[in-house]
Amino acid sequence: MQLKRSLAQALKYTAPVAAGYLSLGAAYGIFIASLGLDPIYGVLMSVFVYAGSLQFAAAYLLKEAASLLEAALLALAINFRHIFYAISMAPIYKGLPFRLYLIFGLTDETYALLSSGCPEGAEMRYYAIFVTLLNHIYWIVGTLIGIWLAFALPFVKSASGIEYAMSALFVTLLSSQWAGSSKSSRISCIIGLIGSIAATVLVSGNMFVPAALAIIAASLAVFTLKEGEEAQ
Amino acid sequence: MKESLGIIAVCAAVTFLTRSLPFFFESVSQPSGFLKRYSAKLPYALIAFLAVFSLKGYFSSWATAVAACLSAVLTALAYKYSKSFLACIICGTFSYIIALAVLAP
Repeated sequence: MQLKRSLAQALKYTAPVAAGYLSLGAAYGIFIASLGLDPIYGVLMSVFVYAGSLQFAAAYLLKEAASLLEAALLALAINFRHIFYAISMAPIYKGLPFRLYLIFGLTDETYALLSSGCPEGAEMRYYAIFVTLLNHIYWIVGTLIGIWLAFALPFVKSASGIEYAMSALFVTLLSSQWAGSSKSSRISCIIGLIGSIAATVLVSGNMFVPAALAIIAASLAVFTLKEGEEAQ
Repeated sequence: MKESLGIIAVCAAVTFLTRSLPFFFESVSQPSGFLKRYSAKLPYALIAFLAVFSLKGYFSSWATAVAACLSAVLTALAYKYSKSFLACIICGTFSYIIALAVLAP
C-alpha cells in the first residue's frame, strides 16, 4: 500500500519535471544529431552521466575528440555544485535502499523535490527511489524522442543554428542566478565572466578550460578573503 | 569510438564523484569559515564560465559572433520577462537561427 501511495505521489510531484526533462532531453537528442555525432553517445550520456548541462557541453568534447583531462575538468566545473547538494542530502539518504543509485541520480530537480521532504501518504524509502527513477526515465525518453525527431524529420537537425540551444541554456542559467542573487553573488558572476574572457585572450585550444578555472578559482579566493576581512 | 567512450566514462565518473563525495567523507559534510563562503560563491562564477565556454566557439566569424551575442542578449531579456527556462532556450535558439540566416545567408 505504502509502495503504491509513494509511486502515486512521486508521479504527481515529478509531473513538472517530466515536462522540462522531456523537452530539454529532446533538445539534447536533436543537438547530438545536429553535431553529426553517433546517437548512441547521446543515449549513453543520458543513461550513465545523467547531467544535463554537462551533457550539452561534453557534446563538443566528443565532436573534437578532446583529451580526458579536459573532460574531467569540465565535468568537475559543471557539477561542482552537486557536492553541496549532497552535503544537505546526506542525512535524508542515510539508511535508504538503493543509496548508490539515489546519489547517482541527484540532479538539480531531484534535489529540489527530495530536499523539500516526503509528501503525506508516501514513505521516504520508496518515494526517494521513485522520484529519482522517474526523473531519470523522463530524461532518457526525452533524449530518445529528440534523436527520433532528428532522424524522422531531417530538417530539424539540419536547421542551421540549432546547436545554439546549449548557449541559450547557459545564458538562461546565468540570467536566473543574476536575477535572484545578492551583490556578492553578482560579483562572483562578474569574476567568472572576466576570468573566462581573460583565458580566451591569453591561451588557446585545450588550455582554455584549465586556464579559465585557475583564474576564476584564484580571483574568487582573493574576493572571499577580502570580503571576510571587511565583515570583521 | 574509443576516445568518445573514454570521454563518456570520465564524465560519468566525475559526475558520480561530485555527487557522492560528501556521503563518504564526514568531515566534508561540515564545511566552515572560508570554505563555506567560497563554495557559496563558486556556482555563480562557474555558470558565468560555462556561458563564455559555450559562446566562444561562435567567434570564428563575424556573422556567427554577432548572431550569438545578439541572441544571448535576447535570451537574457526573455528570462527577465518570462522566467521560463524552456521559453528562453527556444527564444535564444530561434533568434540565433534567424540572425544567422540574415547575416550569413
